[in-house]
Amino acid sequence: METRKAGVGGRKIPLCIPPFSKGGNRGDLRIKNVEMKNFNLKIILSVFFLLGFGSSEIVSFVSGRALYNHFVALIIGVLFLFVFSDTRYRVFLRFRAHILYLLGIGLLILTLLWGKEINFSRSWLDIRIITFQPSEIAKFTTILLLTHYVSKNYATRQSFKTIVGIGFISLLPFVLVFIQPDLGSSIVFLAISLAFLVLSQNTRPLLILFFVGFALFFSLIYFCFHCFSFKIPVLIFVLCGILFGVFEFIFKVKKPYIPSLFLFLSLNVIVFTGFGISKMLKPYQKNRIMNFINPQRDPLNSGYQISQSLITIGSGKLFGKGYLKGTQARLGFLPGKYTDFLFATICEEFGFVGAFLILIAYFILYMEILKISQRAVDREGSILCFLIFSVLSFQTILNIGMNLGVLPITGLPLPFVSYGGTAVVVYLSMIGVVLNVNRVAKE
Amino acid sequence: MKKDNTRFTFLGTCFVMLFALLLGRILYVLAVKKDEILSQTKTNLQHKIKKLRGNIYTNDGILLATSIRGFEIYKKAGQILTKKDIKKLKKIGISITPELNKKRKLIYKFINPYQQEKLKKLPVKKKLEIIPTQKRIYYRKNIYAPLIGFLNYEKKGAAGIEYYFDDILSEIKKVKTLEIDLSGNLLLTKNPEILYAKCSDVYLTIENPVQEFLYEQIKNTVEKFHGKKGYGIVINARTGEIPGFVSYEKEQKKFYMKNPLIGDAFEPGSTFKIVTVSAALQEKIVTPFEKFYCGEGQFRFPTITVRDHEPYEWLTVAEIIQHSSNIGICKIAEKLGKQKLYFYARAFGFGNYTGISLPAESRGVLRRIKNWSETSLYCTSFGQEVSATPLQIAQAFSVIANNGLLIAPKIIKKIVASSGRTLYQSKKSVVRKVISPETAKTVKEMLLNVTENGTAIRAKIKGWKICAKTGTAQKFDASIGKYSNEKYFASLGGFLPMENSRFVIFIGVDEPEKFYYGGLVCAKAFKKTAQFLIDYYGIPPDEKEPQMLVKK
Repeated sequence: METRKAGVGGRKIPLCIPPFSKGGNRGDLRIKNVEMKNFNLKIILSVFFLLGFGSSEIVSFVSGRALYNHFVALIIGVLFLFVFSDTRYRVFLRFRAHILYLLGIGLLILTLLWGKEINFSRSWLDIRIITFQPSEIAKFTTILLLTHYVSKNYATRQSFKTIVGIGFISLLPFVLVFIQPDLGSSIVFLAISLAFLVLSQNTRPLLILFFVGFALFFSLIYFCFHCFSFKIPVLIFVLCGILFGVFEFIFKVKKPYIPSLFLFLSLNVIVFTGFGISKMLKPYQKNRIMNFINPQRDPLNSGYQISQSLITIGSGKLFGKGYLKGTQARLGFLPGKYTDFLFATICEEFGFVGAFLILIAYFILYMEILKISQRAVDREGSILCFLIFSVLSFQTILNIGMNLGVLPITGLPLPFVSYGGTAVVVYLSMIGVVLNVNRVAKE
Repeated sequence: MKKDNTRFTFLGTCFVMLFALLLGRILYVLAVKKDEILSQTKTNLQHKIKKLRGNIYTNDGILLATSIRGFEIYKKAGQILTKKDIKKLKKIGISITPELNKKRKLIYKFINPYQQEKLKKLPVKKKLEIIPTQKRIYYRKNIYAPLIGFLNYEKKGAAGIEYYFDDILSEIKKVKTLEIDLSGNLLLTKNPEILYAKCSDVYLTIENPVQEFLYEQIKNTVEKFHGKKGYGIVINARTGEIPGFVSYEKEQKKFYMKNPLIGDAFEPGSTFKIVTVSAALQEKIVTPFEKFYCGEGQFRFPTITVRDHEPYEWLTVAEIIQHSSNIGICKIAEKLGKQKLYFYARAFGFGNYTGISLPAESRGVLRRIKNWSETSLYCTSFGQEVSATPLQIAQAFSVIANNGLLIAPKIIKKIVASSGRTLYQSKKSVVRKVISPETAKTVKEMLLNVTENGTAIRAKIKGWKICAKTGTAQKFDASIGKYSNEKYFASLGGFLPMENSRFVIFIGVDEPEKFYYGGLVCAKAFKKTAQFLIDYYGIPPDEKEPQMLVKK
């Protein structure tokens, strides 16, 4: 491919790079003699546009220590972006991926033990100098290990063993984050594993997962509304009995107890796990699910966020009220005005034009990452970019969808735009990795 | 590596479709649902609070009633406060009794903003609703309570000034409410109506030193003579303003629904004789030196037998007033006739509202002539069968003090908006001319005689000419059906100085024990008040003391 041409004056890279453990030469760590031309300008511009847009809003909302933290995070993030874009991605993929992954898991466990509780979820770790969110770091480390694992076992990607391995790698942080409880961030880990299934075209586990997921979701919704009663297992028992009878006497199937028993067990498992999860959920999480189904259910209390977000977006109209003039967000009607609902704030102040610009910037960014994933030199780069693409775009779509009232409120920040130091650093590092993949491909 | 382009194209298209969906949703929200959403902002989600209720000041700027902002706490419906919650609330000074009812309920009436900041940090706040409210604070409550009134449960005025000026103090008609944001702060605005988020203040004509002094005097008098109630009024005769307006009850109530000074009506007694005399002199039926036979303590009129407290024989009109002879005044009234007496009683303001800006005013009883019985003429002439409020009696004295002009008494000096603009300034309003200045001068001289060597001799201050008239009214005892010999209403009204009169003073004590003569019971309070007014306003003496010629 043309894109795989060597850069001007660049060193030609062999397609098969010896693994780090074998080669062990430090010369591989950095890309030398690369010109700025090899930076993907589209990514850089759109990322900085989003950062600037978000910061201009955040500056007006936050002050003092929090603002200082934001700018420090921005500087560290940009630094990381250049460091990662200058470091070969294969270097930290091999055995270092394991170490990083364990580090991420360790941080999550530490958070559960000594975390700082804000808004009912224990998801911040305070180590005197800085307070950060380990779940964001875990996203990155999980991506790295998953990439390593998948590219290693790419040949056996359809096998049960590999899928279980992928499931284990992504479910461990998922569970740790879910206990915090931070539903939004934990869903991202599921999205990572799902993204791999999509990538490897594993249709069977995907279908099973979709079926189980939907069944769980609906049983969960059911139990959020109603309390558990023993009528349901009895009903399932009767249903399976009827099925057994139908199989036995009408269709005359051999061994009719096998399908009916399977149905009985699977239905019961789904019902009981749904009930269990709905018991585990906090009242506010239950309310969110119910409000997603019916936003007008409780516009002043638990449905307040959705209705306020819609009002905020709707009052922006075409050109918005102008910078610093949004009344809904600035006068405290909109909760999470500079974090989860910053998109609504932007919509109010810059109107449809602002929202459109943001969406276009995201679109260009993600399509470019997808393109880079497509034209990467090797499988590792491709998978890495794809996973980064899926994580970022998943969060973006979930957040904007939540702002617009099409998706349930999950408490995920908008990448690059929302306030959140750790998130900014981690996402910028991810972009750095993507840039690195691009540069390696261009060499 | 084998490039699987279909995969990426599929994902790319999925991604494009998702973005298109989001964009479509934005357009839908902005274009289609816009009206519905914007209508929602107007109804549901504007938070409003009332303007701060206005203050009440005395004329010299002493704060009597004010309001402060704070919050009231409601328990949300379906929530139960645990013992732990109550303990935590108690730590910040909110003591609540445990409540098992699941309904929404007001659990604490007022917390200050400092407590609210603390409450915000507690997890209990999820169960509570914190709503902005105001608290009314009263200063010098014991002195001013009957005058100022109080607020009811709905924070509306229930009595006194609070009730009468409720519209002004809370501006219900003008701007009902102010918009606030969710955290309870006022919206930033350039509108001065909202910036000065307070309603208008009311300034009374009361002078605090006068009021306090008068209160002390009335209190002492009532306690000394074991009276039931005490009344004290000081009116600025020239303008009708009231610098002192005191009522004292032995059994102090928490809330006064009506002000006793305008709500209590009783038979004025001898103080009413000034009306009869003024009428007779004005109509030139008698001259001050005309003599009447006073029957030596008892005289039988055609329909009624009238007694005097001391026997007199022949008295001039001036002497009748000086000794407060009932028989003499009856004879004058007989000469004067029903029509004239009724006309002048009305003209002096009896049986009618004084028009003071206070609620629940009684107008007393002055029956129409067609309802008069045969004894009514005699009884009315010395203040029976007529009932009047203390303010009406004081007003009658002010007519003579003003050389015959009836000036409406005023309690409100001015109303000032929160922006500093004066909305209302009270002006002197002359109601009518009752008697001619010459007659008034004659009556004044008679009243001066009362303090010089009459019934009110104890009220005399050396050097100043004080006019006064005592009143000792037997109270009608409904249980016996007769005038009681034990229950009296002792009063003393007057003004000073005699020429260019400035202040009318009225002191009254209800049901004093043992001593009941007006000239005895009320004289000390009257004299001290007069002395205080002389000192406070700097009233020069009428009789210049002989200058001391200093010799070398």
